[in-house]
Amino acid sequence: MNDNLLISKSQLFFFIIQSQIGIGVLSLAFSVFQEAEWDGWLGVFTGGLAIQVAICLMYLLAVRYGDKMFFNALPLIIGKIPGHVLNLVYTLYFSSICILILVLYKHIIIRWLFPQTPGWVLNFLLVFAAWYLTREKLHIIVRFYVFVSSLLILVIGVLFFAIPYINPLYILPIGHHGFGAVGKAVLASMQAMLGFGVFMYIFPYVKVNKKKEILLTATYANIFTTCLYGFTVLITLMFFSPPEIALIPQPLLYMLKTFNTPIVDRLDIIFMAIWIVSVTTSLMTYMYLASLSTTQLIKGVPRKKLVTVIAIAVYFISLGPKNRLTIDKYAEGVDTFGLIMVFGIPLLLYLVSLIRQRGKNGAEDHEKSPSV
Amino acid sequence: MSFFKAFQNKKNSQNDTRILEPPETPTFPASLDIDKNRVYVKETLHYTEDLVEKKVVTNHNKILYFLYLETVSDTKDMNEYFYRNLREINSDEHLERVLTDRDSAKLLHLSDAIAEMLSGKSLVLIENTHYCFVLSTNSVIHRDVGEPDNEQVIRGSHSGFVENLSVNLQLVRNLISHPSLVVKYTTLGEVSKTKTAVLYMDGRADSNVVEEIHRRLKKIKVEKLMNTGIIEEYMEDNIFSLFPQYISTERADRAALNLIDGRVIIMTDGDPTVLVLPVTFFSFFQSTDDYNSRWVAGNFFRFIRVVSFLLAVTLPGIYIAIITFHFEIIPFGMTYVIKDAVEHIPYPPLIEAMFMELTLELIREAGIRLPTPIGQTIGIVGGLVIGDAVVNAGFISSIMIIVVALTAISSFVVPIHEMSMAMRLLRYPIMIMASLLGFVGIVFCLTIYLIHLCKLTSLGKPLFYPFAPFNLKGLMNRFVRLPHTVEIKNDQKENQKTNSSS
Repeated sequence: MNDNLLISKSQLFFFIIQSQIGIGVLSLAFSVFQEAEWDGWLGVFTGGLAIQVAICLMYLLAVRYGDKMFFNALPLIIGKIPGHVLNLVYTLYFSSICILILVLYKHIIIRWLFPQTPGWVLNFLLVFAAWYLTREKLHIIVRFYVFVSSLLILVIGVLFFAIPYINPLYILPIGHHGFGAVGKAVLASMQAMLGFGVFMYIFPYVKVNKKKEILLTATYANIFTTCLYGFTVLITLMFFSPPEIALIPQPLLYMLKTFNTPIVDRLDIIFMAIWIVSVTTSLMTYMYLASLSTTQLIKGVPRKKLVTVIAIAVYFISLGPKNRLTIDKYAEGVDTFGLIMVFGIPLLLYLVSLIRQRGKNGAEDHEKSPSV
Repeated sequence: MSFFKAFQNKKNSQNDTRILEPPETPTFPASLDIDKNRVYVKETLHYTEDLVEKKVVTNHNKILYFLYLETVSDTKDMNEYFYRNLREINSDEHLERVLTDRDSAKLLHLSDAIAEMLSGKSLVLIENTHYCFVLSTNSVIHRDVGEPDNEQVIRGSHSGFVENLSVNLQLVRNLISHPSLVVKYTTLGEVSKTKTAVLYMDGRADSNVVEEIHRRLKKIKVEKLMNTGIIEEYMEDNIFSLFPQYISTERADRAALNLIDGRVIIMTDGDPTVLVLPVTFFSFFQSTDDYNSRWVAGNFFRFIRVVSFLLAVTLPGIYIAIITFHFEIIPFGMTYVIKDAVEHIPYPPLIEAMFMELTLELIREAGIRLPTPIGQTIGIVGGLVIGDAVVNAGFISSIMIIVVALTAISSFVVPIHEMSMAMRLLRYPIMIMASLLGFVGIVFCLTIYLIHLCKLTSLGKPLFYPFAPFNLKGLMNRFVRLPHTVEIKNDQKENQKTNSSS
């Protein structure tokens, strides 16, 4: 494979965190609070541990087919037809996440910034930006990701405004709600964290000396995101009292809204502007992955065209859901779907590949595929 | 459909058959019959009236004809001594020696001699021979190597390129006296036949890049007057981009500095601007001044330039977004000030901004070609009178004037003219999107610009390096102006990287 198209370890790191951090961060504190009240932050950190297990599992699976792309290897692991079916399921999964991101994005922007603006305009801009980048090859996509990651400094910096106002008593007593509630909070936090699996799909495109470095990079990325989310939730939970937080679906924005500086009065608006970029990168990742898995389904069509088709499809479907209940139901469905796709399926595949032991003698080569 | 065909990228279509095409003028070997030769020359030049013919008979009765174009030849000293010397010659050997002693060349084909005559040389036809001589009698128009008006520096060399290619080459050679500096000539332009030089330092410049430049130069086929602007468009990877992908400069020291950095320079005869390629986005923010002033100051100026880029591109957009949508963002102390200024303005902020920007562009465009005294008048009328009157009349808010003035000044800060033109154009989409969607629109536009920058390449090298792909050491070397005594070793790695990425 051409060396230029490979991405480096640090680029993989930013690719993972940019895929993870996105739409979920605004309402994360609220959704974990619903499950475990003020113990929600424990759920986020525990979620990080659970993800670490999943990362190891995915790594074990990916390293068995280390030279091939995941979607390319699928038919080799479980046979041709089931493999293609699974490919299709993955395409659907990635597209459904794209749709979810668009729907939630539209919802939040309309609620916070532009109550009068039609949703299709907002979604169009997001889809257009994502389409414009995902047409390109992976190494260009990660260039963009690494550059916009500098904005995360601002996201973290904004949190410091809250430090003087926090009240640690709000999260006491720790562990009051028991394991069951924390377990549910783990599941609730997954929606925001699901992007960690991306490294498995682009495994052969990472340029490393030893494959193990990919595992390490994924681990670092997981630690980074878990800590960022964990502290965001922690600060939010200590900022609002429990009865307050039950009322506000986007506690992070509410918190930022209360601060003012001599230069800028409403930090939440600035934060939203930065946050849009993070949402765009998440959307880009999933759009890219969707097109990547489709190239294996429809051979011979250039990925650029597939991206266009996916972008148009995702855009029109995302215009559908309008009311709050539909969105919640849909989000719940995608969450469950996601849990199956990133925990269940890899475990299943790993077991199957252990039984069939076909890791070494693959016939096809990913180089021949028109993807990347 | 033919309309769309005009936009097709013709650069990539394989068209290397040019070398096999017959030359424009059919070859004509010098004939033994001198009259035939004379007729041929006159016919080929269509009996142009500045063709001068002089007949000289030597001492041993050999007839010589001198033919030259008097308008491009300098024949003063020929008239003074040379003809007299020739008349005293009494053998063929002697004649040949006298001719070769002068700066001359022996040619077998008259058709080749025509091209030489057009560049100012004199053709010597000798009776009963099958060859001819050309003497170099070129007359050269010289201009002083003064400082270019559009790239002035405070400290450092003040010499700039001129219209003459050999003078320019001399300037560069004087700055870099190193044997690895290579000059390669090509002739471009179907009609103008302009001499073009490609300069690079062997070992420092990437050989793939040099090869690619030669490949693209071969594709140039235009019937216009050749200049670096045309070459630039043929060299660009993406001709639809708003961003310039190469630097053009008139400064000899800047060209030399870039050569040492491993870049390639293209010069054409008759054009004082030379083309530097490939470049990165941040080369547009560097000035040779940075390396001559103290390093902290140099870094500060560079930082100011980058800030000016951001200001010039986004400031009107941000103002429009705030006034139209996000007035909550204005801090408490400023609320009344801004409210007073904006409240009675009849137009939406976009119209206000467009009006002022348009005025500004008009003043700039009008002032550019006028002689300096009138230009100043335009500046005063435009800047002071219109600015003041428009606020007093209540058309435009005074804050808008501040914003537009700041933007205008910012767009002049960037040292390379092409970049400041790009900045002017990049501003308008942001203004329109800001008026439609506030900050969301601005973020969208900036995202698109950024993606575009990440995609752009300059001769296969990423334009946005060292930011995308990110490279910390590259950043320290390229973007930060370190003290000259500090050196960060990255060359090895960087060369490998650049070699592999083209």
